[in-house]
Amino acid sequence: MAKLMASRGGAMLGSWFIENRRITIGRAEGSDIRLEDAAVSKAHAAIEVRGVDHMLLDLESANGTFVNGNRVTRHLLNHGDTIEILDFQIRYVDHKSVVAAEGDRTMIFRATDAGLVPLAGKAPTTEARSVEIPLPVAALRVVSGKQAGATVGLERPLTGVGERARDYCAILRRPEGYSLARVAGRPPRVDGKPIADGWQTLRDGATIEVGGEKFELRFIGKGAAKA
Amino acid sequence: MSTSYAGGTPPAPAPALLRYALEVAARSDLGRVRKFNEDSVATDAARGFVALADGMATAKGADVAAKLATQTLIGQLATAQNIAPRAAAHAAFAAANRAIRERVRADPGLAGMGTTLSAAWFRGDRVCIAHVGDSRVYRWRQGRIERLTTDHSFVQAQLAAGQMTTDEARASKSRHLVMRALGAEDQVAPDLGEHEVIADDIYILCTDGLHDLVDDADLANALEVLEPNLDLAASTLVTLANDRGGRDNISVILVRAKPRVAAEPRGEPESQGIFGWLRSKMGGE
Repeated sequence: MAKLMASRGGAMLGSWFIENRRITIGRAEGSDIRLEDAAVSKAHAAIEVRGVDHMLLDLESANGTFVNGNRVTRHLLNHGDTIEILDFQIRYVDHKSVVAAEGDRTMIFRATDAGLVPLAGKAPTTEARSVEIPLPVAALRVVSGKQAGATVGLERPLTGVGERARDYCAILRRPEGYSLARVAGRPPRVDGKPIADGWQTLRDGATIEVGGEKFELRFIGKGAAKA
Repeated sequence: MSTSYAGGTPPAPAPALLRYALEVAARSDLGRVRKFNEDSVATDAARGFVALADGMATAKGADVAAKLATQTLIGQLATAQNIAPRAAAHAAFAAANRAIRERVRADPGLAGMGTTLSAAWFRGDRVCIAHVGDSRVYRWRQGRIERLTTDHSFVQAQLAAGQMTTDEARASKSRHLVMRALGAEDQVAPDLGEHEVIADDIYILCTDGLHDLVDDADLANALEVLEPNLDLAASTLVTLANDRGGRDNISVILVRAKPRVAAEPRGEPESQGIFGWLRSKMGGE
């Protein structure tokens, strides 16, 4: 169960479990988390339950709501986030979400007035989906023919090389490097030898021949890439 | 992929029932984190249907539910050649749901098992798409990808209601909450859609192990480049999902509708691939 721990200047003010309900944060009496300071708005922020997520909403407060140093109007909370309102700090702890050893799990729910009722399956123990995969960066240089010297970037997961109706192959960008496979026609040659079917790893500087045209793979570096 | 039929093998349909010859490539992979594959894939290219299911369970039986779903559905459709596709699909989903509920009654240890189920059934020049849950069906047509199903998921409902943005939905921990599935309740209502098939369409069925990690743009990229080789396309999609973490089982079925008569030469190869790209870039055409 997710938990909120509030403090000010290092002094703990209290902790709250987020059950299946909305949590209000503000100066008003009756706020779930009451922050007693004149600069805090009466209804300053709220946390709503969205499935197994918790959404922090700023309620158009005068002095703003911040998460990990950034001002937010709404923010899907992640384990370890710190909500800041003036000099108050509220830490969001959701241990369940960091136990992801079993991978992604699916659970069946029914929406009712009382919230979500589980019907079958297992509660998801899923990390937030923000995996940065480092991917190599390389380009293909045309060695022969009338386009000799031209280069083609290989940023996409797959790049087609050759002519589809004749000899055609593809380059696949993977975390460990680039691979080549025949898609149609005669197999391409790598460093002079025809390759077997399926993805074959390419070394830096490899020459690729497809349908009479010649290319060279040149690594440029490692880049961070999207999830 | 083998499929068994209750009561023997029904006769294959008359060729007139299938205007297109279907080329099918399917893969189901464990992924890199899970210990068991709880997806199930079933294909019958000759009769014109394919289905996949992503099983789930509170205790055990996720794989049982998924397999029961695909096999019951395929068996039902095989005996329903002369029934209107929508009615047949509806009946087949109900039968699959019943089969799962009955198995749980026979073995209470399986209580809490359920599954998604997505199916495509080709008849004449049309395809009937039916689904419950968050296994998707896409269509690749003339260089464009289009999603034909709407996930029965909490996150999809939040998106539709404007409660979450697309970015929030992608990062959400709730993206594996399914609002409709087989086995969960006595009745199940599949979403049904009928679409006209055009020659060279490719239909893509996949479980969330793929579409959670390989987004629509990357799916389109893979099809654009690998479409001439359907089998390589299917295995490469699995590779892409595994390269991005492989956090769930990954299943994919690709179905190409090929005209039964000899096809005309396709496309203008000069405009495609690197040569075409270079030529257009360098003004050589």
